[in-house]
Amino acid sequence: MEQKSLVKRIIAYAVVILLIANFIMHASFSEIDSMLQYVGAKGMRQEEADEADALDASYLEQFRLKQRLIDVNGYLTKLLGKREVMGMYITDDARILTAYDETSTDYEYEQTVDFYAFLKANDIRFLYVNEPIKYLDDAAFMESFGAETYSNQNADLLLMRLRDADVPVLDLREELLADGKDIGEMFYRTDHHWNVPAGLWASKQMAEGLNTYCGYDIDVSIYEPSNYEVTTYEDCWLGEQGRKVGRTRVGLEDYQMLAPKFATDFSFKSGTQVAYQGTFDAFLRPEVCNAENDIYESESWHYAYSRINCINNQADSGKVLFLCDSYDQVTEPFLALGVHEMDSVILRDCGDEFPLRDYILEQGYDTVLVAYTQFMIGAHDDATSSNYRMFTFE
Amino acid sequence: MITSIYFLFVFLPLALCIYHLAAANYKEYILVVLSFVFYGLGCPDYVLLFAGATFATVCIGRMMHRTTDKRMRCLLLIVGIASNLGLLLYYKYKDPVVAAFSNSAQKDTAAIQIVLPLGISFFTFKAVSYLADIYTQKAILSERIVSDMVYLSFFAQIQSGPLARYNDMRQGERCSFDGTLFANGVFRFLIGFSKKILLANMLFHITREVFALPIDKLPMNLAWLGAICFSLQLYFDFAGYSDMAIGLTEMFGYHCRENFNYPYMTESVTKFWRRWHISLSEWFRDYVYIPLGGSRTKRNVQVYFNLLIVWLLTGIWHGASMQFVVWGLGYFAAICLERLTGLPSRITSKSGKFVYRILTLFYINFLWVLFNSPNLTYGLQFIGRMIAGGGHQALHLRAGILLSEYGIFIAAAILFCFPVVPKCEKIMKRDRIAGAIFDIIEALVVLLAFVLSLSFVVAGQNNPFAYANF
Repeated sequence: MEQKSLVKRIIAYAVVILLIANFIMHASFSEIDSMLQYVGAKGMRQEEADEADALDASYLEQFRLKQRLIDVNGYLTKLLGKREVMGMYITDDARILTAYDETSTDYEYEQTVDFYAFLKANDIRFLYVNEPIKYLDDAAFMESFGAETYSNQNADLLLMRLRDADVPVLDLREELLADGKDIGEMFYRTDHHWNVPAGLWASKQMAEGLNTYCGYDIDVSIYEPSNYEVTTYEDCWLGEQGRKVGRTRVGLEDYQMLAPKFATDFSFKSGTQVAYQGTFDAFLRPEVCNAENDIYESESWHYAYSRINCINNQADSGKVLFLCDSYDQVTEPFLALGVHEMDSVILRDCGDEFPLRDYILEQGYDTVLVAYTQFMIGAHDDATSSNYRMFTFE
Repeated sequence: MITSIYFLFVFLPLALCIYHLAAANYKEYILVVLSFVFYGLGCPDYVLLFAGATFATVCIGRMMHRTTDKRMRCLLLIVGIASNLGLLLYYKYKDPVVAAFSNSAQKDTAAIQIVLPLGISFFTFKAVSYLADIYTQKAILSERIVSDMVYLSFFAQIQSGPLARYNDMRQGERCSFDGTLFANGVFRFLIGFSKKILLANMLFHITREVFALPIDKLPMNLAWLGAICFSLQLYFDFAGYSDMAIGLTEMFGYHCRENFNYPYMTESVTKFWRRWHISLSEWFRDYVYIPLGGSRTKRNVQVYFNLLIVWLLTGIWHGASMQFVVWGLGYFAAICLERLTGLPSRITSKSGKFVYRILTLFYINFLWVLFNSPNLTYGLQFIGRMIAGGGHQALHLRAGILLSEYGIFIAAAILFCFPVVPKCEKIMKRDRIAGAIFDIIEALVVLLAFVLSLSFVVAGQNNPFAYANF
């Protein structure tokens, strides 16, 4: 047998000693119990096969070297100039993008049209709002990354079909282009969500949409940025996508928190009952915006705004059910400034048994506003998707 | 599983500590328990089956060893082999066979999705070789029955081999700690880990994407890129696993046979299988080909029949579907052709030999396409695309982007298909100082590669071994 050199032997022993030291110092022996319990588990079938990685995943959650190794990985992928990491695409200016599959839009179309007919029959107004993703041109994405993506094409197809069926539709991509907005500035680089100023802008567009399509009379001047106090945090957090590729790959993210300069007066609800009084500040969770927080483990700063069912005591009219997604963490609070009463529901969080139509009739909403990020279109094609139920308006 | 963080940072240090701190008499018992725990972590539903099969095989083997009655020995051999093959046939081939013979509308997809017992093909072949070696008295059995249990259940080899033989697990050395063997094992493990994560897993990104494309969209350049990358990926995946398995075996004081020897350096298709998955080739040679008569039969036809059986079985061992059968028959056809024509020995010019080598690699590459295809039709159409072109024009661009994205990994993979490191080592070790520098650089590169590999695993860029399902 070939005898390894002294250096190699030293390295070999050092690696083993480090593994054992890590095992002892980080109390990995506490895993023995869970290991033996797992071995005793029964009934492993293919649909549960993912659970075979459960031990690994749970250990990784508390693995102390995790963040350092992710940073090492970020350095390496940056050094190699890798633009595709874990199914995500990174632009030269460190924006993380995602590709989306093609869909027929049939399910979304049929559900929306049927839902609209139901609402119309019950004299309830309706508006469908299409919220953009981080790029507007699928062809440019293809040219840049050589990967097919269909999100904008899917949205185009669905909106065209809805418009043909006379369903009121507001496409924020069109508004964005009309306003001369730069899509790159509206989204976080390291997170799939849009930022707070974009949320304020979108709220204004939705308010105008409510005025145009639903007969509202909201004073949209309240959404002018000059009416808002801006608190800026620089290089302070990492979005959900950025946490996967590492801070060393894409850098940290800035954050702006906006709050109205004008006085506000809300009654906040727990479920359907008023629970407490407050101002716009009740929507804010400043504790999330702590630059001292662990950038990998702390809550995403996108959730520094809450969605809370509320009554705006300064607005006279409108009772809106807002069917939305996580993008609307930063639109619902602003939109609520122009409407008397606003409740929001994310359908993916509701069980199959949630009777949406009965709920709408019971609560007496005069308007239903559906605002979905366009990657929700097609989610129903995949039964395992967390967004599978988003277009099930039943 | 052995590339998971849990294995590296929990199971392995725990196993090493317990094993090496234990008294010599208990080491083998500990290794058996550790192996069952390892099996339970990977496949909890079948751990009792695995333990039962191991125990039953050892009992039959030991009974066969003790008895002198020839007929009883023969009967025990048949019972032992039949029961092990029965398990393999039931778990691995029942569902595909049922599916093939039932109406597609009536297929019970739930039944088809039953998880295979971990490493069942490898376990079965080891069990057969154990029983056959006892029957032929090639196996020099240990005095301790637990040694047999270690051989059959050892966790380092259970998932994907190598198909070690009983005598490979040399006795006696386990009692004392061999520092050189241990250090070699650790180093080998680190190299295998890096091969798997830094090369195979990176190339997997390309092959997964290319082989998921519908045939009508697949352009020629992407088809070639995917096919070549799969050849490289499979090599570094399986050779990486084998390195890790050999390394782990050595860490626990045992020896293990080699499984790869730079297979893409091969001169012919025949010689390819003396370099690729060597332990499987040798298994088929020793337990199928030679018992059938091998090459020493009087009738030439018999030799080809024996080869046909071997390659049919090799194909079916990899999977109960047509593409694996055709894949096996593809090797049979090429090996027969080389045997009939005397190629490549008849080629005298260097350039001719070189061209033959390249053609051999192309042929092997086409067969790997079948191997990685979901079905035979897709595989044949994929090869058709490689030859005739077509597909989605816009996707032509993708090949260039994938090349620029993964070019460094592809280049490294191609480079390490050749024995560049041993060559450099040989040259540099002619001088003492240069040799020492080489050792330092090699050690540091391996360490760095291991850290970078860990970073990919932690970042979630790990995937199962390609051979884990066999």
